[in-house]
Amino acid sequence: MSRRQPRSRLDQRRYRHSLSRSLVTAVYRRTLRDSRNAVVVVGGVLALMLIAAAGAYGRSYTTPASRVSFANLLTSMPAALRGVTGDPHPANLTTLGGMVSFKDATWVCGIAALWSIVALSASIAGEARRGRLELVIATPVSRRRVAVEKVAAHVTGMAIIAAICAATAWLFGIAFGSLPGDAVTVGNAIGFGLWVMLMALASGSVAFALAPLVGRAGAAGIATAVTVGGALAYGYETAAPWLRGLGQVTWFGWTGHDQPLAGQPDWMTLIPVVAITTVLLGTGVELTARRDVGATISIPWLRWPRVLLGLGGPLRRAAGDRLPIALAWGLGLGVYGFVIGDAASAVAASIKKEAPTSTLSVYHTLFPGVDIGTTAGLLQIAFVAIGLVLAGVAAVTLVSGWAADEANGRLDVLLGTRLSRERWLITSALGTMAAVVAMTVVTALGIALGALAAGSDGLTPLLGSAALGLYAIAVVGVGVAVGGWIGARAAAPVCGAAVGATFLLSLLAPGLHLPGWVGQLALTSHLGQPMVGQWDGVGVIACLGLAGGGVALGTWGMRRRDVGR
Amino acid sequence: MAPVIQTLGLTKHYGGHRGIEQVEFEVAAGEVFGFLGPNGAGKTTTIRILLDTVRATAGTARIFGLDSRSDSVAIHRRVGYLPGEFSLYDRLTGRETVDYFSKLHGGVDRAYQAQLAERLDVDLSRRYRDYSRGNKQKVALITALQHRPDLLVLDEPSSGLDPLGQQTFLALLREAREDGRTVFLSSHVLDEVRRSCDRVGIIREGRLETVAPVDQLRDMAHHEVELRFAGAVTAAEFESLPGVSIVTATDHELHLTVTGEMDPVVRAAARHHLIDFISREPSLEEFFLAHYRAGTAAADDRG
Ligand SMILES: Nc1ncnc2c1ncn2[C@@H]1O[C@H](COP(=O)(O)OP(=O)(O)O)[C@@H](O)[C@H]1O
Ligand SMILES: [Mg+2]
Repeated sequence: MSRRQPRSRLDQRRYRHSLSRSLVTAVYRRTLRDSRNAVVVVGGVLALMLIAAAGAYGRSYTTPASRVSFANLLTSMPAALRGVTGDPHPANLTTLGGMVSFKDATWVCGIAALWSIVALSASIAGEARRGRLELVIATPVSRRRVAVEKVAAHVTGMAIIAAICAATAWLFGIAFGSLPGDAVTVGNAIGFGLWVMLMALASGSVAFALAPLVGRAGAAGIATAVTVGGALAYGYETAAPWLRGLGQVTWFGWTGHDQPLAGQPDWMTLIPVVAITTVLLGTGVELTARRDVGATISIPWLRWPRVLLGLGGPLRRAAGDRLPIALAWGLGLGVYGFVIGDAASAVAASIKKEAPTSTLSVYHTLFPGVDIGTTAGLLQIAFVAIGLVLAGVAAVTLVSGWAADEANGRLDVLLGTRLSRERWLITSALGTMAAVVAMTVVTALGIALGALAAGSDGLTPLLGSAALGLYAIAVVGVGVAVGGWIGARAAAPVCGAAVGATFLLSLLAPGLHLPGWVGQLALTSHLGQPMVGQWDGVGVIACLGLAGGGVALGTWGMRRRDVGR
Repeated sequence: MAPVIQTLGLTKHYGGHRGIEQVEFEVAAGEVFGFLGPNGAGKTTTIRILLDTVRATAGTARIFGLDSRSDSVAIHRRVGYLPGEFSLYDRLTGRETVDYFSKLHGGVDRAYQAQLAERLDVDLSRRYRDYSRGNKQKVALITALQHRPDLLVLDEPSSGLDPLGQQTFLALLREAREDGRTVFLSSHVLDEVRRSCDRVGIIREGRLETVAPVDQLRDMAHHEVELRFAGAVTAAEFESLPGVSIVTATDHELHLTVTGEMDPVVRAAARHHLIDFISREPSLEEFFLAHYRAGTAAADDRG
């Protein structure tokens, strides 16, 4: 035997390896194995969220009286604020499970849904783009089988996540429960897990059914819009009357009274969720089987006027390429802003008139410097917190679009022209940041119009929305630095981790009673209260610094490394 | 005249993995140079070093007399590049794509662009993502050709093209040469190289093994000879001749492969009553395979 492996044998082994990876019969196992890390991460994050919420409440409120007064405080909260939790009709707020259900159930299911959307939109469309499917799939029969196995693997992964949620719910009842009614029965824990799983799969199935038609990104975008829109519409249905009808046609509305964690299960409401999920998944399987693999329809209204394509140069091209996604995010955030901006002044007025002074003083301690009796104050509390999270996620999607230049092999063609590496990095980064500006402008217009429609000051919220843009630009800066220094593939994951960590820090630090400086690590905690016109210079400078420094660092890194695919 | 491309000791290691080792060659102005080798040989690695998308571990490459790394932008002004694997903008149409790249190259010649599209038979009004593999290749080919560069660097340019497209492509290459342009193309398809190139460099396992004019490659090749005799002949008589190896032998028939001159075989055969003499010139394919078979055998012997 030669010391050096003969090349042909090595090749053969690689070939066999890749063949076994793509064999139809192994699709289920491979998909499940590939999603292993995601299942662990998502399950872990959800468990952490549940534990943090239960721990904070269970340890702080140990007497019936304290719980009753806290519950009263929450129910006296204006709907525009409570809507953030996604639960407009909370049950049993004086029990541990009821409180966790109110505060976190929708968020838990939203995160699981996001994963389902990402996974199910990519499962077939992603493979088709990589050309892997065509290798394996000759007949519609085997295509159908691949699709079914992919779905089955995903459902299995989701069931594991549901089991983690159920186990956590049962455990936190034991660990943090101090009053009768705090225990979460095994049945209710399972019911909670099941609810999370079915709701998430419903969202994912939208992406799965659409992916063969509109491709991976389009399907993921629409499914996310349906999910986030549905959750918001239902969550805020008591805030604005016209939202009531809308909220009730979402699965969030259908299952609104299924609150097993709160000891109020309503299993029957899950039936329509199962039904629509099954129909959508079936549709996706059939479309996968029947349509040409990878051939998606072009949506005519997605054709842009030529000027917006930015064919004039690399900066404009980068901006033009990111623009559709940026505008979609801007529209989503803008509609959200409009609804809240519109509702805010009425709510603020009613607070000013009716809210007991005790409630107001609680708010003053929670959000010092914000006058909850004003539109701007309400916007700060109800819009900016979530808006920052969404803007961060939007920035991650833009970074991933930016990274596609290199990850997809476009950069090889670009750098074969007069475009230098440095100029590519700088112009494409600035172009991506320009797309963030476009997103922010649309968002700002939405919120300002909402405020104006309700007859209050539009200018301050208009300017205040810049906070979202600043944060998003900082995220892009981080992505560009990582992408330039290490490589495109690392950019979006690192940004996603940074945005996720920022979100978790601001969410978990107070709940877990972590020291103040831990929460201060979140960039979003340094942006002041822009909706009331109070800016925190530190945060603004930090954001701009991350953006500028990111570009500088990325450019430097780009000079020295190999360009990859 | 100074060579258009000149490499010295070009070496690339990817971490611990071999990319290329000590690759040295020159490409003269106005010639079509074929870079031939099987998958994984190091063709793309060499090309990407020339284009400065990857950096050599050791060695240098000069193009138009300029350093490929420090003067990359100046070089790229005069280069048309078609990568082996690439993608372009999914949402742009073919026309928007070629327009954008002509902008990056500093000017559009619409008439030439349209002419290229027509000859390659690709409809530029469709969206890039809707093109077939071959049409994507054609669009990228137009982006590489449309600014009439002095040097064309093409990594497996005809992969994915249908026979008609390949013919057009070969015609475009001929025209480029007639215009005095230089072409560097990689391929693992021998026929393509034989039909389009002046000189060939053969790369294998990261090392450049041979650089020779295409014609000379054929001279170096073996011939397959079939001899039929009236009476019995012993194989040993032929086996000892220089450059000869016996493939099969019966009493009256011999199949030989002959490397180099035919003269000794003819003389030996003439000593007998010869009924038939067939000599077949091998295709470049067969030459290539034989070349590799010999190489692999030698490697195994060494190991
Ligand atoms: N980015 C990379 N990282 C690691 N190894 C690489 C990379 N690119 C190429 N190689 C290795 O370098 C060798 C030459 O590859 P390549 O130049 O692509 O060959 P060719 O183009 O002739 O098919 C191969 O063994 C390949 O595995
Ligand atoms: Mg190659």
